[in-house]
Amino acid sequence: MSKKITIAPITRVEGHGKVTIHLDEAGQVQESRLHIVEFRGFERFIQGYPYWEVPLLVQRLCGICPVSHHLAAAKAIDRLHGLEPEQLSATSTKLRRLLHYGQIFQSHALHFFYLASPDLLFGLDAPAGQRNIAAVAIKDKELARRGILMRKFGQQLIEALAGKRIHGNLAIPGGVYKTFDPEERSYFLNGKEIPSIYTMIEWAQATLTFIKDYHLQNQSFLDQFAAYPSGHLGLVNEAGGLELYHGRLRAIDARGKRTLADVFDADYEKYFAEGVESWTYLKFPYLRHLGREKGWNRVGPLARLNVADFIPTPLAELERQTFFAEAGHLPKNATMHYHWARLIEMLHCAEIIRDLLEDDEIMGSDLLREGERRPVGVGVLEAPRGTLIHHYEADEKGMVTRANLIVSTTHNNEAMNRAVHSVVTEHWASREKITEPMLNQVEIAIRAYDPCLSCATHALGQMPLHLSVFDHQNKLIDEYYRD
Amino acid sequence: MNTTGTKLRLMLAIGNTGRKDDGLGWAFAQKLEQSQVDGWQVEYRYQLQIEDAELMSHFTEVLIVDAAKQEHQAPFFIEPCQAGKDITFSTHALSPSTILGLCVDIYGTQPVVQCLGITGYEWQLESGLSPEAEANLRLAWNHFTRNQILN
Repeated sequence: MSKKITIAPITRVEGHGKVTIHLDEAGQVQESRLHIVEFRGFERFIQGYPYWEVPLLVQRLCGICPVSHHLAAAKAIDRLHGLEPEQLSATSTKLRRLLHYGQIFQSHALHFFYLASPDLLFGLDAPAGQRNIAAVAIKDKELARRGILMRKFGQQLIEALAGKRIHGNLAIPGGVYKTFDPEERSYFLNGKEIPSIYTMIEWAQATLTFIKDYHLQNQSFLDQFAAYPSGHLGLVNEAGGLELYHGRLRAIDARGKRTLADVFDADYEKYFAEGVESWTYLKFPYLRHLGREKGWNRVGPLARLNVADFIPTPLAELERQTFFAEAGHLPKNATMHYHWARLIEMLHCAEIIRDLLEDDEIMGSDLLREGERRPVGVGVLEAPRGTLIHHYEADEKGMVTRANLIVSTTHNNEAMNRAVHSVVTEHWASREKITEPMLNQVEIAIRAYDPCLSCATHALGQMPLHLSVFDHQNKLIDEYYRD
Repeated sequence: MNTTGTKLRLMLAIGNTGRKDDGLGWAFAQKLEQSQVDGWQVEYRYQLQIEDAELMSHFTEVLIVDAAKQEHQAPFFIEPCQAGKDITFSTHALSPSTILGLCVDIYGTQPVVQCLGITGYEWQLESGLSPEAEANLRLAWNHFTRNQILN
C-alpha cells in the first residue's frame, strides 16, 4: 500500500516546519515536500509606516537574526535617503560592519555548537534523548563551554553596539546613532572580563581542527549525505573575494560556470523572480534567464565559499584552500559541507572583528550623512544563512507603499526540498518500517542549511512544523510530532 | 545588563512588553531596579538562552520571573526549580529547569533557583498590562518585599 509520511516539528531549526512524504503502492518514495504553512504578513504590515522606522520594525521578524534584518533594511533606507553605501562615513560603515560580523559570528556559533554538533558527535542513528546540547556537554564539556562563550562574545558585541542583544538599534538613515568608546573596545580586546577576540580566533581555529578530523573519520557521510548538484549564489567584493556586508551578486552553476556575473545589488529584480506553490507559504526564487527549473540556487556559507575566488583574511583563506583542495576548481555540492564552510566563515568573522576593534576609526564622531530622497531603496547583504534582500518604496511623505523581502531561507527553499528528497530516496528505499532515526536523517539534511523559518514566512507569531506519511490514495497512515 | 549595588543574586526577567501581560516579568524587574534593594544583577530576556547557564553559574541565588497563564488561578506563585534535561525542539523555548541542568552539567555549580510566575490574562500585540495583571504584579511585589525575599 502506498503511503505519506509527515515530520513535525522539525527539531533544532529556528522556527517551525513540516515535511510530508508520499509513498507509492510499492512503498517507494513518490514525492517529498518541506512545507512552511503559516501566515506571511510582514511585507504588508509595514506599509503606511514612515521609512525611517523600517530598520527598527522589520527586525521584529525574528529573534534569531534581527541584526541582519536591521542592517539590510538600513542599507535600503540609506538609498531611499539618497545615499549609496560608499557615501556613508568610514566610522558608521565600520560600526555597522562590526555589528554585522558580530551577528554572523554568534549565529554560526549557535548553529554549530547548539544545533548541529549533536548530529556530528552522535551520528545518524543516535536516540532522540541524546541529540541535544546537554548530551554534548556530557560528552565534550570543553566543546560545549567554548561554544557558549563564543556565542556570548558575539551577543555582547551586539549589545555594546546596539544597546540590546535582541532587537537593538544602531543604524539610522545615513549612518549610525552612536559610536564606540575606548572602554567598550577594551572590553573585547583585553581578555580581562571575558575571553578576548584573540581567544575567539584561536577557538575558531580549534573548531576547524575538530571538523577536519571529523571529516577524515566520516568522509563518506559528510561528502555524500544529501549531496546533489545545484547553483550557488552570494555577494563578492570588487576583486571577487568573499564579502558579507556589501558587494555584487554572483551566481554559478553546479560545475562552476558563472550564471550571474557580479551584478549591481540594487538591480536584483532584473535578475530574480519568485515562484509559488499552493502547499507552502515559502516562495521559490530563481534566476529569470534560466527559468524556475534550472535557475534556483543554494545560498549561505557553502554557496558563498563556492562563488568567491578567495577570502580576504589570511587564516580563513588558508582554511578555504584546504577545504577546496580535494574538489579542485569545481564547486562543492555536498550538503553536509555547509557545517565546514560555516566554521571557516566563523574564523573569517573573528578576523574581521579583530581588525575592526583595532581600528581607531570605530571611535570616530563622523556618524551621519544626508542625501536627496529617492522613491525606491534596495539593501542586500549576506545574513548568516545567505543572501538577504530588502526592497522598499515610499511616497512623497516618506510612508512605505511597498515592501519586498527575499530572505536567505527562501533562496534555500528548493535546495532544502531537494535535500529531503535525496535522503528519502537514497536512505529509505529498502526499509519497510519508518523509524525515528530515519526521521532524524531528514532533519539533519534540513538542519545543515540552518533555516530560519519564521524569517522566511515573515510571520508575526509562532509556527509549528511537523512529518506525515500518506498512501497512494492520499490517506494519512502515519504521523510524527515532536513538541 | 543592569546592576543594583554589589552583585550577589541574579534576576532573569522573561517576557515581551509588546504582548500585553507577557510584559509582567519585565515589569517586576523594573520595580526591583527602581527600588532601593541592593545586591541584584537584573537581566531582561524574551526567552532563556543557553548562555544563561554560564551566567547562572556565577551566582548562588537566582530568581526567574515570568508571566503565567490564567489556569494557575492564584495571582502569583513561586516554586523551586530543579535541574532537568527537557530539551525542546528549537532554541526558542528553553525552560528554567533545562538551563539549570546545563549549568550543573557544564559548570558543575548548582545555584538555588526559584521561579516566580505572575498570572496574566491578555496576550495580544499591544503594550501595557491589563488592570488585573497590574493588580497581580502589586500583590507579588508586596509579598516579596513584606517577606524580605528580595533583601
